[in-house]
Amino acid sequence: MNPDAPQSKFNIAASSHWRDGSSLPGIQLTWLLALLPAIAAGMFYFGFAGLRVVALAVVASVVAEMVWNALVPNRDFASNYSCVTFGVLLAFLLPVGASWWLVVIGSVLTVIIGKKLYGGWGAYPVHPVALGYAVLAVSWPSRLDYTESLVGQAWSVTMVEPMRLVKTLGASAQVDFNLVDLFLGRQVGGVGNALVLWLLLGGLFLMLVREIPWQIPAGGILGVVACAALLGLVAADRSVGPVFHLLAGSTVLMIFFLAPEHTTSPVNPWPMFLYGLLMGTLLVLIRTFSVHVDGAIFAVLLTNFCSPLLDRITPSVVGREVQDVA
Amino acid sequence: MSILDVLKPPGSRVPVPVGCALEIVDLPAPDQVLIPLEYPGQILFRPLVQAGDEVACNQVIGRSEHGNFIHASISGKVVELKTMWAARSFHVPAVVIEKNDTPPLVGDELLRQCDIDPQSATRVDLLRAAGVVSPWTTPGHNDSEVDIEDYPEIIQIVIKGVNQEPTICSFRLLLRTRTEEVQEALRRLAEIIPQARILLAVSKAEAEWASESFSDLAEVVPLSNDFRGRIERQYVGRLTGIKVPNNASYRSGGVAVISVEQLLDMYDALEGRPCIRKTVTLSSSRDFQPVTVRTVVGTSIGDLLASQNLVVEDGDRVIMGGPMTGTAQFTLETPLSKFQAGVHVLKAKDIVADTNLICVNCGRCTRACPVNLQVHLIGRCVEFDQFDEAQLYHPTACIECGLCAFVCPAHRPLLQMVKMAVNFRG
Repeated sequence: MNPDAPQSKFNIAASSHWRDGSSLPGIQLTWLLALLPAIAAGMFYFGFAGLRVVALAVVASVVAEMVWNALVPNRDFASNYSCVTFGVLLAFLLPVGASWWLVVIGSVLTVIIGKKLYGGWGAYPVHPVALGYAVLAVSWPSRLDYTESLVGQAWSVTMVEPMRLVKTLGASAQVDFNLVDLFLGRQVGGVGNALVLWLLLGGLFLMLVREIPWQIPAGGILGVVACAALLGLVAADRSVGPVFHLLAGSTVLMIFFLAPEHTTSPVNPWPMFLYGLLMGTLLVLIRTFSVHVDGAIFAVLLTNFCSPLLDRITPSVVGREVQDVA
Repeated sequence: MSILDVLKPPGSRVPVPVGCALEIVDLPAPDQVLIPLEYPGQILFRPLVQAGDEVACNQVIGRSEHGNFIHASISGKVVELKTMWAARSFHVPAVVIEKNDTPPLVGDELLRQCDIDPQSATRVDLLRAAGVVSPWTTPGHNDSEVDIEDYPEIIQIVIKGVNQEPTICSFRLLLRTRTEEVQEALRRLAEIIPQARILLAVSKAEAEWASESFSDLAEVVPLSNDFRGRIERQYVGRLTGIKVPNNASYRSGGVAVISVEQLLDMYDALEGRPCIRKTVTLSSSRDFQPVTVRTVVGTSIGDLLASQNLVVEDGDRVIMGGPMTGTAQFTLETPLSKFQAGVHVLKAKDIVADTNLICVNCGRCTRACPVNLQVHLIGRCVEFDQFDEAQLYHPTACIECGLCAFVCPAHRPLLQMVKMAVNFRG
């Protein structure tokens, strides 16, 4: 730099000079807006017990984020609200009556191990919430039992997690569940992961405002439906129908909120579709053949690792061939 | 932007052009002009005058190696020869002229000063003597002036009747206000290059009027109002079916691309009027109705803005060109050259500053890119100095439309990063 160079009184920057009005906090606020219907429905179904878990998780996440930022300077600021969204998403996966320490540990794991250790939003290889929940699930599996928390509920539905009953009694157990009940969220589940209709509303909103691309949910739904339909042909005794898979457990949360997370999903059109397809397929396979009851989290973790690989399928660069000749 | 824009993909959210007043205001010549002796990055002129010389308007003041000329745009005294930063940030020599009352050069004098015999002058001689630079005399970014002779024959001519930048409406207005001259110019063009197919790109709103006025002279092609549909490299490739490398001249593919303004300049040149005037649209992000003015080349931005009472305060951004691809200026002394069609003032309140936030991999840049670059990866490579790695993603195919930076929610200077990947390679 030349110290004698004249200082300009104008603002200087490279083009483009217009921006489309989006921002990082804007993205996370859109996601939180999309999660609101499910939070509200959770309050309606479970009262303040559900809200308690959400609030606890959010507070713990934000505190963890701010403490880390105070100790380790980095470029991922608490002001982008990513820790709030992750707190809410983690709370959705936890039981309504989760112990406070479980929520706090889960939130801290999500924010610190899942996100901050890698450098923050934009740098982690797998969804922090999936990672945080997975650690809880292998550390305290009995503490994450959904049924126990809902003992007091006066619902006229089968009070067992749908996928658990199907896993223990075989595919024939699906007749114990009414699909409409499942759709409205009247099923045994966590604070928000099984509130199908309300999550779907939020997910459609995200797609409508182009916050998430349509390819990932479309691929996810197609993956679940196709894989469940195929399994219905070859292993009818243990496999339930596609609609049941879509409505039971965390499928909708996974397809609309966990899969399209920006950092861990591919960005090109075909890879996004394949990513969704792979995740949906894995979900049904894990549910049908593994010991895990709801495979959503593990499907997310496994597919996240594939996304850089999938993203190598790129549309060809226009003008590239001419360049090489020239 | 309207609230419904959120329903569109981010790359289509560039505001559509607003209506301009349907007139071009002629400005009087300023008291002083600063004439850069170059065409951006392409042709360098050797000055033919020195400090203290008296020059007349239209007098040749610079000559290139290959016989192209640049003219004084006002009569006056050469105050000094100096170096300056041109509008697109090239460091170039320039001539400062202070106005006096010397009468302008006219008629055969114009040709004689260029050593051209008025009796035997060809059309190309006339164009050169008038300082018209296209399409016969403009090389591409990577070509030297001499390479022009090796270009293939012109088989298609695309005439830009609409500006790429949403804030600029000079081409549209020229088409409207000088319709008959444009028609005559198109007739001449067809005479000069009878084998060429002539296309006239106009905005969709004017398609009907344009096809009534020009359909027997050129193929009228309407372009959509969306910024994506107006990106020059994109629609030229689409309309002509010929892909030209982004760093080369269209001419290497047998295509000539000129604006309506350049077409009219050529017409004027054949009529014996040198190219010393320029039409520009002045606009601002607030409290200012866009206005299109015609003034002489070399007028400073400061004089231009002052003539229309467009106030610039400290902290504002003054952009030569438009808001998508224009260049921010660090001083109001920068003169208008033949290549900028607009000046846009972005008020301090409307500026969104660039950041160095982490890329969150949302992929909007990559999905918005009209040439399918992996912008998010190029940006990250450049951020961490991996310029060789960045070459794997073909940054040279970038057409610099600015959409990647426009859609980036982290406000990263993405276009700048792609340009760095191009310039720092190897």
